[in-house]
Amino acid sequence: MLLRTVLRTSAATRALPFLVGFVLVALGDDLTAWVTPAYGLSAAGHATFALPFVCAACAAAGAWEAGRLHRGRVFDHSPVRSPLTITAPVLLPVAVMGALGMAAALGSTALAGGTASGVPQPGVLAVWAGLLVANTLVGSIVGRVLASVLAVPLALISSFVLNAYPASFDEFWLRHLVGGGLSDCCSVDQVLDERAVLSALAFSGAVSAAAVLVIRRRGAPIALATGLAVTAGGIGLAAHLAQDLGPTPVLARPASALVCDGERPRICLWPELGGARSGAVREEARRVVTTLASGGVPVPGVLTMAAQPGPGEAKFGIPTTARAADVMPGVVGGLVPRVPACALHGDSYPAGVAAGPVTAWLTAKAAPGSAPHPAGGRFGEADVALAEQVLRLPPEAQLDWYQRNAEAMRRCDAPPALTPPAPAALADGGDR
Amino acid sequence: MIWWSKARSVPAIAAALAGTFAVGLLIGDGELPVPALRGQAGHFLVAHLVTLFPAVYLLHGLGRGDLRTEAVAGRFLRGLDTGLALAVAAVGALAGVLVCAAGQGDLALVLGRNIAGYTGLALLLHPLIGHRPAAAAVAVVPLLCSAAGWRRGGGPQPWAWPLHPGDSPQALTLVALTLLAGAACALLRRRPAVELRVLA
Repeated sequence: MLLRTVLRTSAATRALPFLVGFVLVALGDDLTAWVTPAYGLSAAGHATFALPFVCAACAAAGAWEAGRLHRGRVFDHSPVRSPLTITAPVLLPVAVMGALGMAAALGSTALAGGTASGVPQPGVLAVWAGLLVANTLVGSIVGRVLASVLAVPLALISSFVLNAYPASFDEFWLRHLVGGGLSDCCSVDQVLDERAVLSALAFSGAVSAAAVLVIRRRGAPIALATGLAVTAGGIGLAAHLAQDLGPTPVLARPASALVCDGERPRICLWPELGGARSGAVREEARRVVTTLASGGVPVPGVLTMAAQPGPGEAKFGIPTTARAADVMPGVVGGLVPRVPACALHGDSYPAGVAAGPVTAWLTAKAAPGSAPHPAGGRFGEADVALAEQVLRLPPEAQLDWYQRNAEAMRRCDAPPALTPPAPAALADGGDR
Repeated sequence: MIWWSKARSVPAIAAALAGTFAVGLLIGDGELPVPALRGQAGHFLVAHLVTLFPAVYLLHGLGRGDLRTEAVAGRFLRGLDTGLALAVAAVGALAGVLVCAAGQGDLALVLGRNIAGYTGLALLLHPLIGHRPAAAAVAVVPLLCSAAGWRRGGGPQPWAWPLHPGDSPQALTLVALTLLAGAACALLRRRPAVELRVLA
């Protein structure tokens, strides 16, 4: 058939405007809500949220097109060409419709992220392509077997359930078969774990190969048995590849991508911040570090945006859209000890209550002369009051208070010593 | 009448109705995680999906006749078809009420109401766009609801009737209106308005 004719008569051509409208209007908010600004991989990952819907559309359109071949009794008229050669051109517009639907999703996430660089991620695109093709082929088999008035709703609904449901299981490998973990990828200090990509490709490749075999052999029993075996093998391989993955298939981003500059403090930023913003952030960070150091607070020599700072480095937690106002909380946050592994495992963590007062005290030290305002989620009114008591102590006593509490916060078995010693008691041997 | 019943595969529709109810009561409160991915408090249940199938089987039966030929038949076949669809909706809704009264909770009401609602949609769309496109269009409704049917606060949008709890008067009104409009459309339209050549 002429390509022109295929495109003109295909159900996919008619469904395409509806699919693109559905992705942009119905899914738009969900797609763009959590995209990390300026990070292409995040835009690509979050666009995967639309994949179950687009896969369902591909399966339904594939079922429709195969149903037309079935109703036309194309295969009953002793065709000269092989069933695959007849089916493939009819399914091509369906796959193209899926690709355009995902392109719409990718476009809206890239717009939300405000960047085009790094958005076409080969791994993510490969997962999409594999799953779209697999759904189209399996949908066409459903359309060949059942009456198309039943096949289209069945393909639509079951494809949607099979692509969306695995993400709710506690067996994490199941979701990686259908790319279910990609939509939570990634913050700027993470990269995609290639094993999730390989796992989804192994699964979709095996399903596609089995479907091609069944179409080519027109559902002969041996082809059916081989197809089932290939699918089972693909699931096994995919499960093996994904067995060690958590719910979100991410790795810490290699520190070699950081752009570092300066000495004491050496400030390492991700390139996504851009040149002008990086310069402004570095300047402000140096100013904050100088203020802290002049107040007697020890600051590590390296501030880094890496996910896991090394020894002698402090985490510099700022967003990729950081402005000058974000820098001071970022520096201060890096000086507060991170929650230790034992607490994350559920041990009791008595020093957890020290985080608020210590942050408030560091904030006051970083911006002397202005009382710290309670900041939502980091410290509150009571923490500010306690920090102000501490600030009335002599500098050595303040530093001692900070270091004792910081030390307690690194462990699970040490209680914090939050109540500062009364200034009068200290002053007894001093000024009087 | 016997031939009509055979052509419309009434036993298959009855079986689909019974099967949907059984599946709905057994695993209907299984949750599909799709809308919850973004922290919205919506629950998209299996019951919102499986209730499609009586309507799809009804369309399967309706599609086995030719609307234009049947319009000039001696028997009033459109009336019989509309009666069949309304009977499916009524049996679904009645079973929902009875099972709910027997202590199976809100889910049975949701099942009954959604069966009636999807049947009404099928009845409405069948004369307008033909039975195959109508089946596809009815099946898109739950996906549309799962993607866009939740408000930020957690409750369902007013128009997303399949997601409403069983005692929601709004959803019941919408379903009743759909059934009325569907019955009117099926009785008054004698042939498909859109003659999609390639779809026929």
